[in-house]
Amino acid sequence: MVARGGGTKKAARGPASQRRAARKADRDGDIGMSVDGGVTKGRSNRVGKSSGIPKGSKASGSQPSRISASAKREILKHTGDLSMRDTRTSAPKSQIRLRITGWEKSKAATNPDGGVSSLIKWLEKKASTKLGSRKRTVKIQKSQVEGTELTINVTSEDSRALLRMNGYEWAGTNITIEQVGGPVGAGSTSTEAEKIKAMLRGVLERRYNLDDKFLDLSGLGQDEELKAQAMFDKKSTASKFFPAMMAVLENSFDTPAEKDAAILSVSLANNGLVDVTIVTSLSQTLPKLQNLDLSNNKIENLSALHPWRRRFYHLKHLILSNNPIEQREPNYPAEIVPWYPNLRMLNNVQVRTEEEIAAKSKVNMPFPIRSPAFQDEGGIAENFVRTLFAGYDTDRAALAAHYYDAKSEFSYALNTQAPRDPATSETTEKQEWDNYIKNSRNLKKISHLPARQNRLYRGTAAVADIFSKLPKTRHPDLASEARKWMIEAHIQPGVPDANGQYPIGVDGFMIVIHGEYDELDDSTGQAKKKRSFDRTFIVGPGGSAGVRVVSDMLNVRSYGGAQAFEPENIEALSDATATQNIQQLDAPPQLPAGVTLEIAEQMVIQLAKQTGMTLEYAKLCLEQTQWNYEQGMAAFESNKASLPPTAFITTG
Amino acid sequence: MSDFEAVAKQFVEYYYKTFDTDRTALAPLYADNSMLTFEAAPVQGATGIVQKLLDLPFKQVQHQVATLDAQPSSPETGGIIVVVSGALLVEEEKRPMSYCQTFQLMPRDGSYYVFNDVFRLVYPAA
Repeated sequence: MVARGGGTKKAARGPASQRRAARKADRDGDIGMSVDGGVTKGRSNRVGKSSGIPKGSKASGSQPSRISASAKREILKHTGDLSMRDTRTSAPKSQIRLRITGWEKSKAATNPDGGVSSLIKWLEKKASTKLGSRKRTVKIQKSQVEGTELTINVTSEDSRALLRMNGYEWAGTNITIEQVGGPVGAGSTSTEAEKIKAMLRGVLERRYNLDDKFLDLSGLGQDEELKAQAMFDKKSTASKFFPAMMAVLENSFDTPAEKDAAILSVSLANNGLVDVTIVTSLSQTLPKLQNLDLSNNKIENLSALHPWRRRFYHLKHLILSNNPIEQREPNYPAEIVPWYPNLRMLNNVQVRTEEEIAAKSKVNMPFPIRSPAFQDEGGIAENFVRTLFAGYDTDRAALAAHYYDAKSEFSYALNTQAPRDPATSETTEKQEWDNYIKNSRNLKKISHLPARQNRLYRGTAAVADIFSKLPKTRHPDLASEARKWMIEAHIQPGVPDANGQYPIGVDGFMIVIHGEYDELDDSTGQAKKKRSFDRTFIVGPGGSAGVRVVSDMLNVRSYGGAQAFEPENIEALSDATATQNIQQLDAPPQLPAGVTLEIAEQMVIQLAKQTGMTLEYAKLCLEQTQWNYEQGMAAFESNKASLPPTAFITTG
Repeated sequence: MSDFEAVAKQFVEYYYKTFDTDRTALAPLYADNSMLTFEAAPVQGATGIVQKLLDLPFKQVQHQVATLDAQPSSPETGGIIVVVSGALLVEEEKRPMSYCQTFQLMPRDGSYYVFNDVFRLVYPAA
């Protein structure tokens, strides 16, 4: 077993020595790790070492064969630019060498081979069980013992799983796993922190149910293992415990997508939570959670849950039963349901049907006009936006000829400082912005006059040329992915007249668009990067298309997500005092041009007064009649028989 | 015809400096036909606009401009379109919010005023 594919030669093979089964060392049922391996203890003194470290010495963490810095330099000199991991013995390029220490003190140390073979078996088995995936076969391709140091070769994929086991307990001792030639000190020896990490990971593994994709974090205070670590004895450790566990959880997966797919449900029941402060990191670690159980805690009011407002966009079921909030704020469901636009169930009671959710997402169709500030005339602005992005994604030369004439101008600026959506797995690459930076016209940075002028593109040909130099794109569909867009249009007087008949100009539009696109690989056409953008157009009448671009200004930045466009986020900076009443009911209403929030609020109050409906229903009624008061009244009259009793303010 | 860029730069510098120190002093930059669209809420007229800006739920604010670009939107009328993107730091909020703001400047009495002002947060507050 030891030294598969090379390494020590004299290893006595065969399962002859099933002498003593190591005692249970593994938390999830790996009882009876049989010791069936060969012999190598302290034997393979191959790479120029005089002897192994004597058994039982205290040198477990001292890395006897770690190469000194000067020796490294010496070796590098002779081997060219081989990376460190290749300098000791040549491992195939695709393999990673891991050094395992600390095992010689294990309960299996008295085995003929010092426990090495059973250690290897355990490593393979343990690394193959992974949160969120059923089977995975980690194979140690080559191993070699040198004193108290076991070196193994694995694929880079398997190495991640093994490195995560650094600090794990095996046969009564904590083992250290580190990459040969990896960063010095990183993960060396079983520090207290590593032990805690390993312990937390054990807890997570034990509490995870793969079939249900369910992570049961209920009753953590009663968890024997956590109690043993005195996790909750001091306030200082108690407050750090949960974030630490979330960090371990995140590190258990290779990608955020893998993590999100593995865990759909979490229970935090029976944790004595007064609010969610201590567990708030859950919303960062599992932003796509669908089911959350908070029952049997001590949550008294909605403000205790406030940190999770606007989080968990995908939440479908929330359980808050057996919390004091049920008595203290019995009307809390009406308030909390709007926090989670995809919530279907609250405390096992349906709050929205699938049809309602589908209908709600259709509100913006067929065109993402999310703003009261979309002034259009005969669909000109809308049609322009549709045609423009379709053309920009498929045939930019044709687009330039269609909308851009000799006087049209285009320029773009690159914003490298904008934050990235924390939910994406994308990271900044070295040449991240190479395709943009050369012609970016950020006047804050570029003061040289010729550069400024060169980067302002005027006329069909110049626009077509710079369009062709910008990366290929695919914008989200305006109809089916409306929530990724934010589009505003304003009537714009004084737009230059293409025919020169009106010196003071004609009416056009200013259109401001915020959104995102996939950047496509030039050769394959595959999406490779997500970007966010802002684009401002001034368009006026004229040209063969009937509409011509006067100005086109593009701003490109890291992908920042579409959360800012969610209705509930728009109020982030809105005037709290004037619109408070109406906003407490739900997200800000979508108002037609000419109806301000103040007017809308008056309308709601008036209609509620006149009909006896609650403010919420009055608002709903007005929303459905596009804020036409007469029609709202008429809608009430024709529907009042079918309205539920809860639609009316109870009197007396 | 390149001084529109200088105008844009000066304007942006002055506008945010004034915004961050004393919002009431922004009134002279707007006119009665000016339109502010702040996070989808439209307000018209200098008085209303300044009131809207004063009513924003923060006292301390700092704009950090990351990009600034300008184009002459209308050579006939001398208008300038200015697009700014950057970060907004509000009071104790440590994490900045990203915003994008488009100004349409129009000449008036030898200077310029804001004809259209469209402000939008493009990255959530929390």
